[in-house]
Order: sequence, then C-alpha cells, then structure tokens
Amino acid sequence: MGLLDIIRNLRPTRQNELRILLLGLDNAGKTTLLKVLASEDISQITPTQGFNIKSVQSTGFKLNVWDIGGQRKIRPYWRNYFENTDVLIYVIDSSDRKRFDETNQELSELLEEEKLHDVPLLVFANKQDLLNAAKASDITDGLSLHQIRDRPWQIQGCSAYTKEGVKEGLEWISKTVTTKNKK
Amino acid sequence: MGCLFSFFFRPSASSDIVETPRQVFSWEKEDRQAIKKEDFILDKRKNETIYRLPGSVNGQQFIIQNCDNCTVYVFDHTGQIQIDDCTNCRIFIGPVHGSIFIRDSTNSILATVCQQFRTRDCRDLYIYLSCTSQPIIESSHNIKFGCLTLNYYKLDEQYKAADINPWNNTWGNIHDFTSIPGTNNYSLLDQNENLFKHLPIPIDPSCSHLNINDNMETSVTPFTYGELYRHRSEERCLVVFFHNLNANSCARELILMTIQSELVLVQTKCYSINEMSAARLFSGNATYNSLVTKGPVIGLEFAGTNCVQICQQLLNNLIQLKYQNLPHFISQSAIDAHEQLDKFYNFASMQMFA
Repeated sequence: MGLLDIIRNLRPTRQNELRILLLGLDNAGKTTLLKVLASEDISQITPTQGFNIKSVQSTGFKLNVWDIGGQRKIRPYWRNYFENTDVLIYVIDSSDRKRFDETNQELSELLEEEKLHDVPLLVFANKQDLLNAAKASDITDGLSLHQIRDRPWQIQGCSAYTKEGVKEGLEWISKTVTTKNKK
Repeated sequence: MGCLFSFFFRPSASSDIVETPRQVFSWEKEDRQAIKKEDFILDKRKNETIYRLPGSVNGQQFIIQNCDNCTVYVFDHTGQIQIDDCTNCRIFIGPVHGSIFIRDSTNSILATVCQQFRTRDCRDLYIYLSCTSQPIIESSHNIKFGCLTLNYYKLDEQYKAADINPWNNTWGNIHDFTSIPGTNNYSLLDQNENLFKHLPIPIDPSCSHLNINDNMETSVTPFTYGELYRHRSEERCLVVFFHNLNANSCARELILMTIQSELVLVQTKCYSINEMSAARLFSGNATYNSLVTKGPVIGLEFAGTNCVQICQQLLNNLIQLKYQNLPHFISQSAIDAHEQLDKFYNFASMQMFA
C-alpha cells in the first residue's frame, strides 16, 4: 500500500489533526529535534521558557508538534498539553547519566496519566554522538520499557545534531499511528 | 516543515520493499569507538590544576564532577559540557558547541564561550560568559554574571569550530526559572571585574605560547555593557556593517576608537535581515535592501553623550582612511536611533522564532 493510503488512514475520526507532544527533561534536545524536523537552522537555539509549536497542513489534514520546556519548575505545566495527544515523543539526553533516575521518574509518571492512556510512545535516546552517551539498549533496560504493556512503544537512538536516527523514529510513528486508526 | 511534512505527505512510492541493511551510525564506527571517554571526564579530583591544550579535546563532550579546590583550563573547543557537584573550583572552558550545564556546585568560578548556559541548584558562583542565547538559572542563588573578554592563540578558530559568532553575546540577559519577587538570585559584574581578577592566570609553561590575556581591546568577544546599560537614558546610535570581507575588522576598529571617546558599546548582533525587515528598518532605501541579501550584517549599539555625532565622525574618518567603499549604515539622529534599534532587535527575534 502506498503512503497516500497511510495518510488517509492517519486522519483521526474525531478531528482532522494529528498532535505530537515532545517532552523530556531540560537540555534533552527537544527544541533541536523540533528544528531538525522542520529543516531549520539549529545554531541559535535558546532554552525553552514556555513552549514551541510547529504546524503543517495538507488537504484538510493538520499536523502539530508541541515542544514543551522541561525545567523542573515548569514540569507541572506539562499536563496542560496532554489532551488529544496522538503520539508522545519522550527525549532523553543519553549522555546525562547523572539524571537517568530523574528522567525515569518523569517518564513513569507520564505513563500513569489518564489523559495519556493508550498514547503510543517513542523514546528518542538523543545525543548518541556524545562520548558519554549510554546505548539505547542500556537505556531501554534502565527505563524498564519492556514492562510497558498498555501501549505501543519504541526506543530509537539518535543525534539531532547529525540528524542520524531521526527518520527511523518517524517511520515507527507513521507505521504505528496507521495501525491504530485501522482498528 | 521539510522533513516531517514530506514524511507524512509525500506521494505514494512503489510498494516493492527491499530489505536494506540498517546504516551504521557515526557513533558506532570504529574510530569513534576507539576514543576513551575517561580522557574527557574529570572525577573526584582534589587540590589539582589541570590543563587541556588546543587539539586535546577537539569538540568532544567534557565532564567535570565531584571536584574540590581544583583549577581547570580547557583551551580547546568542546562538545556539550556538564559540571556537577563541584566546590571551590575555578574553571575555564573553551568554545562549547551546544550547552554548558552546571549543577549542584558552589563557591566556584566558571568562564566559558557557549551556545547555551544553564545552572540548577547552584550557589555563590562567578560566571564569565560569551553566550549566543539567553542564559538561564534555576533554583540558584548569588550567581554573578560578567562579560567574558579573552583571547589566546587561535581562539577565534575554536569559536568557528563550535559554530559560535562572537557578535552574538547576551551574557547579562538572564532568565531565572525560580525568581522570587523582591529578591534577585543573580547580579551583574561591571566592566572593572575582568576575568583574571577572579580566575587565576594560567602560568604553566605548556601554555605560555598561547599568549592568554583578558584585555578588552583584543578580546574575540567584544565587551558589551548589555543589561548594565539597558535602562540608562544616554543617547544611542546604531551602526550596521553589511556583509563584506572587511566588515569584521572595521567594526572592531570602530569599537576601539569609541572606547577612547568615552562611548560605550551596549550590544552587538549579527544576523541575516530579510528584505522585508530591511525595508522597514532602512525606510525603504533601495541600496540597503540589496546589500542585506549578500549575507549577515553586523549591528553595533553605542551609547553616550552626543553619541550619534561622535560615531559619525569616527566612522567617517575610519572609512576614508582605511575602508573606502565599505557598505555601512549609521543613525542620523538620536530619535532615529531609538526606533532603528528597536526594529533591529525585534526583527532578529522574529526571524529566530519564525
């Protein structure tokens, strides 16, 4: 089947919008990833104080990607963005080993949120290009991702800087959202 | 929205699927696997002075953690930096490609050139910055920020390797995620608090050939007063140099001349103005519109008594003596300058967040 058929199937029944939410600790690389998805310059990215959003539209169908600031102080605001999320992308700085527990904690809490129930999860193990980066397989174990039973999930090692691994993550999303809408 | 758009909306491809072997990512390759990460981590050091000379880090991530009473100089460009759980340390990090994040550290001095600067849970720090985005602090107290003035042999090349433009420095425009009304978690150092007043001058013979110095006149990042001058009422002037081989040197010479005239350099900014913004900034003057298409411009904001008049004189002399035909723009009056500066900075922000 061709990609046009996939897109037709992507259209949710309730509204013509696919909503992707980008979450993760501060400094994970969420905004850089967003800029890479939008093919924009990444040399002057500033720490996100509120949120960034990128939208694209095509023949009655709209795709929105929301990138929310991840400082500890503003994580309570994440819940304001949960509603109608179709895909959750959780970004991890694979080289920030000191905060693996912290990111594990935040992800666990997200997976228990009622408003994110059933939402497919893509974990980007970002910054694989850095020397201190833990491998995606090690991060999978650390986050106990294999214990997730209630939703489709995937982990993808990537580097937003070199752009490697990003496409592979998008391919999984496309495949997963299609399957979901077929049901 | 290139990549994502084309991903979901491109026309249907042939459905012959061929299993291609998964590409090898750059971090999986042999030469990368051969680099030992331990060489780039300083852990649990005490009472030591550590040097990293040019070429020894070469853009790799560098980590300093659990150190006490150490002095660290990294005279090279680096990747992302993490500084964790350090006390009584004095650290210089060369141009950082990405962010520098200092956490759970106290009573220390940190000087650096970076794209992003972040703190969390820190106390009693002196921070000298050349930072291309807004520095942020969180749950931190008594953080003193100063403008980094520094030069050493081939530091300007290290800036380029880290993709950092010395004309874009917002060292004192701080965002505090945990600001408390009525108090300030940070303060700004004035121009008299130069780097080596607080950071020890490196004396090891291995780096004497680098000619390390913190003079304002030769610093790669020009000293800007920034937020120290933001709310003062002195007359302003905007000078713009259009993209040209000599723009950089002319701008630097002008700055030197203005120091002697008791004018102050408040802010500099280098970006590509689009034609629509240029038309509004330069009031429709067609000459300037075509000049902006050649490349990014360098904008300088000066302040002081009779600023416009003095800048015009100095710039005229400089252009006639050394830089004939160098395309430039300068405010014609104080009132003009005020409006032009607003537009110049606003257009830069708008284009960044487009």
